[in-house]
Amino acid sequence: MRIALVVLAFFAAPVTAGPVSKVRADFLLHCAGCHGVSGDAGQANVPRLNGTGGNLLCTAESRAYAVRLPNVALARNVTDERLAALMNYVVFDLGGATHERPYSPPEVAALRAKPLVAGNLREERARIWKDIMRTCRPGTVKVVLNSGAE
Amino acid sequence: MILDSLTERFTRRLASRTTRRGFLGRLGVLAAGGVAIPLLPVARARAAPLTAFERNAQTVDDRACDYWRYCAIDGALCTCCGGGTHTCPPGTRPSATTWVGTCRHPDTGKTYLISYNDCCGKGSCGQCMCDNQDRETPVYRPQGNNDILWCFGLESFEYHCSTAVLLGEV
Repeated sequence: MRIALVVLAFFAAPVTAGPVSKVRADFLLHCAGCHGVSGDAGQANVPRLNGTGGNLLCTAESRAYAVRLPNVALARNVTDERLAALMNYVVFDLGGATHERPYSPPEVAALRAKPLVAGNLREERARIWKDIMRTCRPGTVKVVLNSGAE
Repeated sequence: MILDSLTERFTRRLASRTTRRGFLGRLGVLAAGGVAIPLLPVARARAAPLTAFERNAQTVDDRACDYWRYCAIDGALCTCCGGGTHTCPPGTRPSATTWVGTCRHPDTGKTYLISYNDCCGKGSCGQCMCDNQDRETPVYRPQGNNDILWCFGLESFEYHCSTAVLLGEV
């Protein structure tokens, strides 16, 4: 009987993975490949999101920067509504933000219309994070300042 | 007058040939049929058509390229190299980065999120080489491209084989 159950469990495994929420599915499809399924692929020189992404809501400029990043602003097949939900998932659910104002679809629409396609993304990133650390939580922000992809 | 007799003949014939139960039965068929019409191929054609891979995918042999989870895998199957669909062979490590796509389960028709993690740290296994491309993107959209070796970030960038980790149902 026990063997039968084990065999059954083995063969049943591929179709028992539970449904994931729409926003989680968007995160997995569009972000998790590089950022990791829990947003912590820091070892691969990819910016860590887990526990730190929420800091992007610190200043008006950093808040805008997060949406204007090319892979966010230019995401394919993602409406403003879905992108706003996705950004809120990243900054609140993964990133640890708690009381800041969530992104709204109109705000996201306006920001993604101005993608960061010119200039040096690494320098921009360093400048933004320096400003975040100075403005919001000096000395307490856990930021992995690696040479990561933008 | 003619109308009267015609109507009478028609209703008498109708009454003699049909029963109340027969009428109810036919009404039932009509009602059920109406519900079923959206299931006909005309309505289904509006959904995305199956890809060539999806039409032939199977759910039994995970050492074959047409196993349903491999709809966009590119490389050697880890199941042929001493690993599994979601485990790396001894002596190799799973990549921290990957690309995530979706595959359709042929029996249930449901769509699942699949993470194509490479196993790294040893020379190429070279067994069971596959290259499927459902919803894979060109290399200028690298986050959805399967030609990339996703081993960067680990101590060794050597590619050994590919897994297809099931992340969940969409």
